Amino acid sequence: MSLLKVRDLSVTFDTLQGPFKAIEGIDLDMEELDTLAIVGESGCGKSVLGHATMRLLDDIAVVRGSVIYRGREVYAMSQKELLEMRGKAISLVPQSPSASFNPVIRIGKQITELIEKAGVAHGREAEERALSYLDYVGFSDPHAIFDSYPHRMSGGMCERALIAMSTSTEPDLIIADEPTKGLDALSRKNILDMLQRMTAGSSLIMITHDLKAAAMCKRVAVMYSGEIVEIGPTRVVLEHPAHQYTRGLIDAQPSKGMKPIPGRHNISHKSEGCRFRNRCELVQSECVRHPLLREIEEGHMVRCHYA
Amino acid sequence: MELSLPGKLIKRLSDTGIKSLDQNPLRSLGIIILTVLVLAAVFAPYLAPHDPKQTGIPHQSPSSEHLLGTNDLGQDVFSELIYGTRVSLTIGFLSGIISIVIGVTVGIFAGYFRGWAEELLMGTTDVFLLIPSLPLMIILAAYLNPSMWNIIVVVGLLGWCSTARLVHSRVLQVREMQFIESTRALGYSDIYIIIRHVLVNTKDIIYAKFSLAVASAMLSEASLSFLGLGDPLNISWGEMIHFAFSRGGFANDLWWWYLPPGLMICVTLLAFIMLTMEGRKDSKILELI
Amino acid sequence: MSLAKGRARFFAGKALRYGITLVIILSINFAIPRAMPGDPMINLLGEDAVRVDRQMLDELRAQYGLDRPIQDQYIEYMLGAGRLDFGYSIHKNLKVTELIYDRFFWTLVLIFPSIAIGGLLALVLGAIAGFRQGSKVDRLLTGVSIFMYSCPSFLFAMVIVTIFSFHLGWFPLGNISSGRTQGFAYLLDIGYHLFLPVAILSAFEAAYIFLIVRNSITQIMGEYFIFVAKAKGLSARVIELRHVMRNVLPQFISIMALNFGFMVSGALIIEIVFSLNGMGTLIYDSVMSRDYPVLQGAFVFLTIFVLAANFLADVLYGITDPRIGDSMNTGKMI
Repeated sequence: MSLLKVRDLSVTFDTLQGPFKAIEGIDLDMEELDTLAIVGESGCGKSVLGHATMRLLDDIAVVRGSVIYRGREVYAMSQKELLEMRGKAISLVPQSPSASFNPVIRIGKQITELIEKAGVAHGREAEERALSYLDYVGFSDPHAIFDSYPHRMSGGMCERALIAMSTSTEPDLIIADEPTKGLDALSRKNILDMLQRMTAGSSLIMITHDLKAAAMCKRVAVMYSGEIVEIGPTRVVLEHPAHQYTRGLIDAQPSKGMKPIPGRHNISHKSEGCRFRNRCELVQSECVRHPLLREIEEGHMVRCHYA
Repeated sequence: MELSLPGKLIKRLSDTGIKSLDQNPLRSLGIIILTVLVLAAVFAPYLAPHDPKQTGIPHQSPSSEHLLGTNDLGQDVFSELIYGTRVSLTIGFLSGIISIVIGVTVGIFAGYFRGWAEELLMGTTDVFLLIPSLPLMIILAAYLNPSMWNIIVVVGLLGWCSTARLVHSRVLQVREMQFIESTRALGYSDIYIIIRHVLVNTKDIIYAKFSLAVASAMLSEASLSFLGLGDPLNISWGEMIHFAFSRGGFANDLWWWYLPPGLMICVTLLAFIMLTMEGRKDSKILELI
Repeated sequence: MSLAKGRARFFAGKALRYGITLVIILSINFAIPRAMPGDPMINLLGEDAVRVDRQMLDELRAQYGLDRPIQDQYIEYMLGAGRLDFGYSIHKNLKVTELIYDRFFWTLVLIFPSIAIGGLLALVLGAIAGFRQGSKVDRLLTGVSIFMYSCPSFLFAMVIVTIFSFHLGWFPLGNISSGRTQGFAYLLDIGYHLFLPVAILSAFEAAYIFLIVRNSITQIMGEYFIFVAKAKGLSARVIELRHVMRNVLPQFISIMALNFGFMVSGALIIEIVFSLNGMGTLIYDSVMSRDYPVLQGAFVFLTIFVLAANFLADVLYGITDPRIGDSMNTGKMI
């Protein structure tokens, strides 16, 4: 049985300007100890997908499709089951590390409350566990961090503390939302190494705009305008991209000369057809039809008529 | 079908009217109430059935002759109430204007020029915010002759602090905007920038705050008048309640004497608060008070 | 710098600010009677000054030093203020300070329970409304609060007195106790007499603070760390009580303090309506007889009280919010 199965998942937000489709027709499968990177520009719906997987979206979001965790439909769970699942079975490493901790509660207390809630350990034992996880993520003085308030810590320190917190319950699946956002190259490498080490016993979905970060995962899914446009083994996708958008992302990296993708990401995407066609250099007549995600080789799927 | 130009205009007017009523019913209600009150104040001599100073049979209950009965001197309470609208609204508006002008000036200068001016102005504001305003108003009003104009000045001069604070923090935000920086770099004078850019970008909170400043000035005036510091020649709603209280109307349960002016104060204040309501959302009051 | 040192500096700075404020307020009080139109003698002594005999007037004139230069008068006044000496009420034939002491006590008896009850009520109701935003309960509570906010306290008090004291006869008027009881029964008696005034004052406090607490909860509920707490699988109750309310607390304390002056004003008015023997009735009588020394003394006493309460609140605020006075506030120490 697979760990996580997402089928035809779509999320629509009811906004004042009318309904807005954030993601549409997403299918994903995660096995035990699997690692998957979801990459794309901001606004492509990758964070929404992460949050939808944990059923964390607001009431203004209309969710269709299904998310099945270990054979159980997440959207059919009772409130109690849902609370049990979050943080214990599926754990989120949130983005914006500095804003993720409650400013008036000590870091240690915020980690311990998760460990206790998950039922992993209690009281003194839970505190010991929190301290050892702070140690694992490389704090030289875990006790000082444990007793510290978030405002005394830098963004990078908060990020590490967040990873310690999210992994302290040994979850089956960790969803890391933009773990390298806003970090310089050195800190980014440190965080990625540490994330790899800390999530060795779990499955990982890493949401990122950073292809370097994506490279540490076994598979990568590229999202554009709420859809997966390409998914496959990381080596294959990054070295032999089949979708023009993936090629654009690769060329836009600093190491490849930062060549920007022409045109602008059209968020509303009301028109039919391929959503990337207004930016695609290879656009042809067939592109007015909406392409389906099709397998072009073993495990490598792409949403393009011409790939 | 294509409409003619006047037709279009009427359609547009009614559209916006109905739309704003639909989207913002409370604000529209506030505007309606205040319009009625202002009309009553302006046309008081035509609306009042009696001369409010005319004495007659005292302590009469409400009747068709005296809609709200008479007071201890036999004066018609309803007529007094209509004339009181003039006094209460005038004091509220003028005090509100004084306090908003001082508050906005202090807030803008402190926020725009920063440095020692900010220290001095906001320091003073903080000191004034700490002084309980009613006791200070009482002292000042007690020394001055009981006149409407003195009350306007006293209430206006002591009510500006919260406006100054609010405008100050808003100006600090506006100041950081990119275009202000570039306008300064182009060599425009500070006064020009303040008037053309800073004021324009703070005007929405100034309008809302003015509405609340009038409301709070009216409340202060009512309290001072209730304590007997009102103008005996220009009787406001608060002062009517003072007379009802000190001359036996309250003790003898003559509700028609003190309840109507009290309710008028409530309704007027509510109307001013309604003006600050935005759409279906909460009132701005939460940020402003 | 250590946290404790940063805190100490923060509190010392606050203390200095309050000290300066106090001096400014005393100076305003010194300036008012001398700057106001009219005979400064009458401004200082009250309108009864014209009725006292020559000899006493001369004595008082000498005491206030009105014939001496203004700076001498100022020093004399400040020294007097240091001893809490605010002159003499000819009207009441008593020293102002003595007059105030007794009355002030009863005003405090009215204010403190009202602040405690009103604040607690506001916190509970604000939480109920804030966590159920847009619900019927929320709309009802918010509507009532805005109505209370726009209702003059004396009108509200007069209506309550008319209903509960005049018509129903449930509660007494005009005295703090019946004066025949002792011990615990005496306290109960006071509670009975003060029930309505305290209830009204609490309601006004609650209405105002409620709006602030509700707004504060709305803001905090939108913070990212609340989303993170949800992602951790914490129950709504834990999030509300531990994560949200803990953040409301500092703001709650500071708004309670800022509202102290408003409560003092409210208490004065309520006392007058209920004819309770406190600062309010003292001020009312003094306004009627233009007994200026008493008005000035009362103003200074009330202001010092409000200052002290605010200082206390600032200290509490510093304790409840770990960010206050922490020099590491924006520090990066990776």
